[in-house]
Amino acid sequence: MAVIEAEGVTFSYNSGETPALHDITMSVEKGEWVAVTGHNGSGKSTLARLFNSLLVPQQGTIRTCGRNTADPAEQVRIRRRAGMVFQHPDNQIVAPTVADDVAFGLENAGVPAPEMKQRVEHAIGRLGLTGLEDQEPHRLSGGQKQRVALAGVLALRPEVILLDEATSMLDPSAREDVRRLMKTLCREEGIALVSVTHDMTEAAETDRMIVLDQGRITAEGSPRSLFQDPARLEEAGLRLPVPLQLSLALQARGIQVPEAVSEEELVNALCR
Amino acid sequence: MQITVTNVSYTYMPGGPFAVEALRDVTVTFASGETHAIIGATGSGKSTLLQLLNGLEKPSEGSIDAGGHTITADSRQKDLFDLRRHIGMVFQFPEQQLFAETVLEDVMFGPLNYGDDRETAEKKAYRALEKTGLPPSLAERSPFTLSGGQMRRAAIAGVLALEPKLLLLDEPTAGLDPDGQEEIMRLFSEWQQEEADRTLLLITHDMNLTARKADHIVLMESGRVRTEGTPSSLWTREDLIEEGVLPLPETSRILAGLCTESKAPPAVDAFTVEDAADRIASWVRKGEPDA
Repeated sequence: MAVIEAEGVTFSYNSGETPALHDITMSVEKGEWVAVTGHNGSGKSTLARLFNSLLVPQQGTIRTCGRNTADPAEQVRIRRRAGMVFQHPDNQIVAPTVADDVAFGLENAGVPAPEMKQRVEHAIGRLGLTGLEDQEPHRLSGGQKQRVALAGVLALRPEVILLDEATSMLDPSAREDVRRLMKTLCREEGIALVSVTHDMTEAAETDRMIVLDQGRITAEGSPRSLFQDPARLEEAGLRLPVPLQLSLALQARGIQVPEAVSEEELVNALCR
Repeated sequence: MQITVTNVSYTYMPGGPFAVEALRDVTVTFASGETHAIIGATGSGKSTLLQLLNGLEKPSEGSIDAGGHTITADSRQKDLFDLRRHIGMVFQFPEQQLFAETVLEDVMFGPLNYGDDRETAEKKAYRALEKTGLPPSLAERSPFTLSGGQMRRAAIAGVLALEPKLLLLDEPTAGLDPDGQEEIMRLFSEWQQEEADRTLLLITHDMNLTARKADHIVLMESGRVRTEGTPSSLWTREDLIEEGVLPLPETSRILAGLCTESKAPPAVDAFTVEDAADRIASWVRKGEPDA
């Protein structure tokens, strides 16, 4: 069952201008992790905003969690079912403490207090923020802030989480951390994820990768299959993940290694 | 331009209950004409150091000497103003600071503010725009009609128009795609190579960028300089790596993971794919009978 279905979607920010997105047809299945990739300006963030009805297509339709995003009566429900985490940790925190921030969406949704308390606790525990409940969010590190944002989204029990470059502002270890938690949410809680990213290390972990170039889908498939065609990725302003670049460079030096897409895979192959 | 930091300490809200000693007895020299990187965990003091170098704050103790200007706790605002003339600061997401009605006006703002007449300021602005690769045809456009990449270039042009001797860059490549990262860094190195005394100083969490671009790295920890040196001299320090104060660049992480029962892991200071591949290939062949 699809949690997001886009059909023939075209969108321009200003009428008469070249569309930011052109005739996009794609879907995201329940529990699936999809990477939407492309260079800066390829239309990938626009697509994420269309998915949760922050923007509405001029042509075509999008159904998110079974609801038409163009229907104003459905917008609030869609945004609760399809939560979004943005790029800048500082731009999405509203409350004076971590627990209040995680509860913010639930309060708006009118969830009764006892249930709210339980959901906030669960979300905070799931994202490894236990002990930080009473901290002021602005005093946290970037990685912790993004985890607070994710906890706020998780507390609303979404079917899908849209991550708009959510790890790009973090240092490498925090990035790794948040990525691991994203994976847990997807694999263990069955939440579908859409990662908007140009980080191929992140894309390599997903089930399916979509490449956008100038507002059109130019490639779609498993990360491994798309990595077979580096020229096409480069055309879209993307690069192979470093472990794979290294595997190919080793093959060129006569070393027998598989085409590894992750560090772990490459290290294991070399350490047999 | 060389910058010498001597015994500098800095305390936020000194004397009060919330006093925080952000820098403690920092002594470090940033040599002229080189590319320096200041790295360290969140809260290690690197942003505070950057604000002192840029003349936004004065040290609580010690002194900073930059191109003949000396800044101490007793310096007046005028001294800081003079220092800032020679130092260009590119903040994170500089495109958020664009404000004027046209690109040209925005880029001219700095030179005019420092006393240039309109004609000179305009000349400097056009030169700066050219350096950043923005066509002169965009000069009369509103900066807010430009694409994201063009906006970032326009903002950088505004800094270059001041003709600084030192550029301070705070996470210059954050949020850019691979091509964008390369283009922005190329722009800065081209600027640097135009004159021998132009100095780059970047603050970043990105170890890949640091390892590939920096001549000299300063590692900050709890308000102090933990250590400094070249990329190779730092990433061969096992103590720093084991303690976790020095994260590894991507290629080094792979090298560090290699081990078998018969072979010790290779040294991890190879920072490009080609260098790392050479290193791994000779490690794999080590101990094999010659074919």
